[in-house]
Amino acid sequence: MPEVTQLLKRLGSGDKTALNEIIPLVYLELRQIARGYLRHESAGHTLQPTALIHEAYLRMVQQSQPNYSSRAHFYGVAARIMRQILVDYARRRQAKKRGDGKDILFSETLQPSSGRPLKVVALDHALEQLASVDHRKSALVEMRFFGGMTAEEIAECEGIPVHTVRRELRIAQAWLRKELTQ
Amino acid sequence: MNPELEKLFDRAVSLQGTERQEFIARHCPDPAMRRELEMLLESDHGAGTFLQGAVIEAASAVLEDLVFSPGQRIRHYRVLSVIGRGGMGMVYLAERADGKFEQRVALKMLQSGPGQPFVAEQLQQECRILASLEHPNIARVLDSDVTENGLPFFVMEYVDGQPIDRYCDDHNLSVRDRLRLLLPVCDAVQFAHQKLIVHRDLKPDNILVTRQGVPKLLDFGIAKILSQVPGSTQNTATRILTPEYASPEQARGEPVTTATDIYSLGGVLYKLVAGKTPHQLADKSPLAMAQAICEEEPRKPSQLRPELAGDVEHILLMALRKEPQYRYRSVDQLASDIRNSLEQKPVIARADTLWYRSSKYIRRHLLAVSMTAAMVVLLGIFAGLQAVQLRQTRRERDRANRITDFMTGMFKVSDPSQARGNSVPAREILDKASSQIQSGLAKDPEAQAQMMHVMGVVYYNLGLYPRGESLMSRAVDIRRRLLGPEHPDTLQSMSELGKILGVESRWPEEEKLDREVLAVRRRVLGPQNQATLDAMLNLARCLNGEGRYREAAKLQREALESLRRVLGSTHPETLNAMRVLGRILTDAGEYPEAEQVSRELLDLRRRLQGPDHPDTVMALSNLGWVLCRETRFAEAEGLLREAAVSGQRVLGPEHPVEIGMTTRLAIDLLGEGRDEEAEQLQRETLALRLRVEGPASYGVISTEQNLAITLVDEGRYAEAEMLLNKVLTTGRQALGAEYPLVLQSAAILGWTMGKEGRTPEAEKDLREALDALRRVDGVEHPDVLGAQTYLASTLIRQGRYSEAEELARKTLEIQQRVLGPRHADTLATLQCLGIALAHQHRYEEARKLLNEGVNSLSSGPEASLALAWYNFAGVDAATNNREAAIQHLQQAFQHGYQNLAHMRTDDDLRSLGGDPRFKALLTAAQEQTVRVGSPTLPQAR
Repeated sequence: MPEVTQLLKRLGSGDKTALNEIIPLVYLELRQIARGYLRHESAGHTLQPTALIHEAYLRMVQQSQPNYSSRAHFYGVAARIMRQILVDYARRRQAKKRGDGKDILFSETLQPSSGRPLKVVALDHALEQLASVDHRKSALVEMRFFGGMTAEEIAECEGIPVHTVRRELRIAQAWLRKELTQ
Repeated sequence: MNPELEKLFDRAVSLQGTERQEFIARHCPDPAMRRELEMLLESDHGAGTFLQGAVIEAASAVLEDLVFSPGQRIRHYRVLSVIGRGGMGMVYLAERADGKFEQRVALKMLQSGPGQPFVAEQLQQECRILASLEHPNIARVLDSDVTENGLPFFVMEYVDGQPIDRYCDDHNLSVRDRLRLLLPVCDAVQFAHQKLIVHRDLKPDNILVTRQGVPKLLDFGIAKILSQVPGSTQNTATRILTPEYASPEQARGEPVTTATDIYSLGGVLYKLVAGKTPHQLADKSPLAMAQAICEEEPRKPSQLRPELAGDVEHILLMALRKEPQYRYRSVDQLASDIRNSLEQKPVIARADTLWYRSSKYIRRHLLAVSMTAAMVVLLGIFAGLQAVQLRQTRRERDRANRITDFMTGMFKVSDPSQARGNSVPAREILDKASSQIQSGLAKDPEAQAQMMHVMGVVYYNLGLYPRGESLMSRAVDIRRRLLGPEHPDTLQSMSELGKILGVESRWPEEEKLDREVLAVRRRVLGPQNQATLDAMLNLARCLNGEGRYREAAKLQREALESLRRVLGSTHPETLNAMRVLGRILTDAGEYPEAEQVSRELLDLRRRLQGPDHPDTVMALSNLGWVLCRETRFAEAEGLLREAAVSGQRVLGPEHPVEIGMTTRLAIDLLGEGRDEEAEQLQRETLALRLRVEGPASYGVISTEQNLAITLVDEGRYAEAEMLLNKVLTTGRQALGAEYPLVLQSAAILGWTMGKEGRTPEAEKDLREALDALRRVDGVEHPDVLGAQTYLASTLIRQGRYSEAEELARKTLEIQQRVLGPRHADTLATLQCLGIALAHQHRYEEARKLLNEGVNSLSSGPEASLALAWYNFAGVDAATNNREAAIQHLQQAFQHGYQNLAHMRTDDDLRSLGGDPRFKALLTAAQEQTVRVGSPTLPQAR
C-alpha cells in the first residue's frame, strides 16, 4: 500500500501536511475494523481502541515492510483519529438535539441515546488545555491512551529518548487527573 | 508547563514518605508551587488507570448503542437473536412486538459504527426499488426504517437456510445436482438484471438454500445502494466485501455492470463444483489481490477435479473471463448453457473458447490503477474516496436522490406493451435511459455528465461506437464547463472519447484530445505517473495510426523508459510498450533500432512466456519482419517460417494474426526472388483474408498490393495494373487518399506503368504519390526515397538524364546515410545514377558505380545482381567495350536476367546487334518466361 507508506514516510521526515492526507484513510480503516469488532463482540464486552489501531496498521501497511518508524507514525495518526471519534460520539450523547453542528466527522444519522456524560469529553478538553501550554505532552498522552503505544514506540515516533517519554507522560497523566478530579 | 515544576516533580515522584517531604521542603520554597507539586504528586497515583478507564468507557458507549440483545426492541420488532453479521452491520432475527403478524423477519442494520455518511431518505428510495424485486428466489425486502437512535435498517424476509456451498457438501450433491441448483439462482439474477439492478456481491454466503432445497439470494442490490454515496470522483469506489468473488473491473474500481454478476456467478459455480475459489487470495496484500484477480488465470477446474473437463470447464472459464464483454452476454445465456450441458447438448462456451483463446484482440487488462483505489476497494472501505468529504452536505444528498429517482423512473416506465415476458432487453432500457438523461437530470449537470460517461463506456464496450461517442463527447463538454479542463474527471472522459475516435480511425481528432490530456497530466501529475504514461501511450498509438511514425516513436520511447523505471523491465505493460515501439520504428523505417528492440523483446518473451505463447510467436514474426525490411531476406526467412508454422499451431490458420505472418513470409520470398512461391502464398492469404475480413479491410487491400507487386515482378503487367487500380479505388474509399498504404499503391502503379513503357503517365502518378508520401512520411523515409529512385528511372526512360542524375544523387546521399551503403535500395539508386551518367557519356564514373553495385550485390538477391550485370553490360556496350559487354550480359543471364523486350529495344546494346553471341542470348531468353529483376520496393505492411 504505497500510498499510506508514502504518507508515513513523509510524516517521518517531518512533513506535517501528510497528516491531513492520511487522516481520512486511517479513519475509514478504523471504522471498518470497528465494524469487524462488532461482529465478534456481544454487548457487555469492551472495545479496546488500541487493538483497533493495531489491526488498522496491519491492514493498511504491507506486512512485508514492517518499517518500525512508519508503524510508529501510523499509530500516532491513528491515535489522533481515535480520540476524535470517541470524543465526538460522547459529545453527541450530551447534546440535546440532532446536529448541533459541532462535529465535522459524523453525519446526522446516528444519534446516541442520551446518557450520563462521559469522562472522555472532559479529558479531551483538558488535553486541549495541556496542548496550549505544552504541546508535546498532550501528544504523548494521546498516543499512549488513544493509540495504545508503548513508550518505545512513542519515542521512535517523536524522535526523543525513551526516558524523556516516560518522564513527560508521568507528569502529564498526573496533571490531567488533577484537572479532571477537581 | 513550568520546567522548574517538572524537574521537581520528576525527582520527587521517585522518592517515598519522609524523603519526599524533605525534598519538597528543601527545594520548593514557593508555597504556590509547592501546593501545585503536592497536588500533582497526589494525582500521580493511579493516573494511568484512570485515564485509560475514561477512554474505554467512551468506547463502550459507542458499542452499547449499536448492538442489540435479545428482548430489546427495535421499532415495531423485538429482537429474538443475533443471526450474524452482514458486511455492513448486524443482522437480527426478530418478530413483530405488537403480535400483529406471525412472520419472523431479519433486521439488517445498515450501519455499525459511528460516522458513516448515510442518509435515511436515500435508503427509503432505494428500498422502494428493492421491494419491487418479487421473485421466489430472492429474499424480499419488506420495509425500511430507522431506530430511535437513527440507525437505519432493512426489514427482510427471514431465510432459514445454509450457504449454498455448505448445503451442497452436507447433502453430498453430485456435480449435476449442483449445476441444477444454480439454475434458479441464475433466474433470480436475470430477473433483477432486467430491472437494471446488479447484485455486486454474489457469493455462497449470500445464497442460502432452505430445508426444502430452495435457493434464495440475499442482499440484492444493497451493495449498490451503499455505494451510491454522493460526491463522485472518477474512481467510483465500489464496495467489495469478498475479494474471492470480485471481478477484475471491481478490483480496478471501474463501473460495475451485469457482466460483473455473471463473473461472480461463475465464481460461485466454480466453488460449488471444484471445491475451491477461482483465486487463492488469503494472506495477500490488497495490491497482490487485485493483481491476481486482474491478471492471473484461475486454475483450470479439470486440474482440481478431472470430471469437470469439457463443457463444465468451458462454461466456468467463459463466465470468469477478465474482459466483461467476452463473458456471457446475459445470465440467461449462462443458464441455458448450464441446461444444455446437463442435457448433453452443445454449449456456446466450447466454440467460444476456441475463438477466445486465439483472438488477438484480447488484451489483458492490467492493473494500472492508483493504489488508493485498490486499497479502498479491496478492504471494503465504505465509500472510499468520499473520505475526503466526510461532511455530507445537503447538496450532495440531493444529488444522490435525484440519481435514484431518475433510475427508478427508468424502469417504472415499463408499460405492458414492453413487458414481453421476461425479455425486455437491457439494451432497450439503456437506449431509453441515455435519451432521457438529458431531460431527467437536467438540473444536475454533474450527475448528468457522470451518467453519460458511464453509458458512453457501456456503448463502447458493446461496440456501438457512434452512440458511445456522442454520449462521451457530451460528457466531456459538460465536465469541461463545470469542472474545468484540468479536472481528472474531465481528462478521463477525454481519454475515453479519444479511444472511441481511435477505434473509428478518426485519428486527427483523437490526437487533439490525447495531446491535451497528456499536457495537463504531465504538468499536474508528473511525467512518471501511471495516468500520464497512459496518455502518452494513447497519443503514440494515435500518431502511429496517422502515419507520423517519427513522432510516435519518440513518444513511445519516452513512455517505455518511464515504464521500465516504474514497473520494471519484465512487466507485461513494459513488454507491450516494447512491441509497439518495435512496430512504430519498423513503420518509420528506423530499422537498426527496430531490430534491436525486437530482438530484446523476443528474448524476454521466450524467457518469460515460453516459445509457444502467442506473444512469443508474434515477437518472432516481428523480428523477422524487420530483417525483411532490411532486405536481409535469408536471415528473415528462417524466423518468418517458424513464426508462420507456430502461428498455425498456436492460433489456427484463419486467425488474423496468423494470416499476417504468412503474408510476411510471402513478401520475404519475393525479396529472395522466389516469385512463384510468393504468388502462391499471397493468393492463399488473399482468399483467407477475403473470407475472414471482408473485401474492404486494410488486410485485404495490403495483400492485394503485395500480389500486384509480385505480378509485376513476373512481368504480368496488365494483371498487376488491374489489381492496383482496384486497390486504389477501394483503398481511397476505405482508408482515405492520403493514407500511406494508398499512396504506396499509387507509387507502385506509376512504377508499373513505367515498366510497361507508359512513362509520361507513370511520371505524373509517381510525382503525385511522391509529394503526398513526402508530406505524410517525411523526406527521409525509405519509402519516399524508393519512390524517388523509381521516378529517376522513369526520367531516364524519357531521356531526361541530367534530371535523373540530380534526383538520383540526392536520393543516394540520404539513403547511404539512413539505410547504409549496402542496403538494396541504396544499391538500386547507385545503379540508377550509374545509368544516368552513362547516358551522359560519363562512362568512367558510371563504370565505377556499376562495378561497386555488382560487387555489393554479389551476396544479395539474384535478381538484383542480374539487373546490375545487365546495367553494367549496357554501359560497356555504349563505350564500345564489346567483350566486356557480352561477358557481363552472360553474367546477367546466369543470374536470371531474361527481359527479352528490354534487350531488344535497349539503345545501349545496339552495338551488339550483330554479334552471334548476343543473338544466342536473345533466343535463349525467348524460350523462357519473362522475369524482371527489380530494386527493392516499398512493401506493404
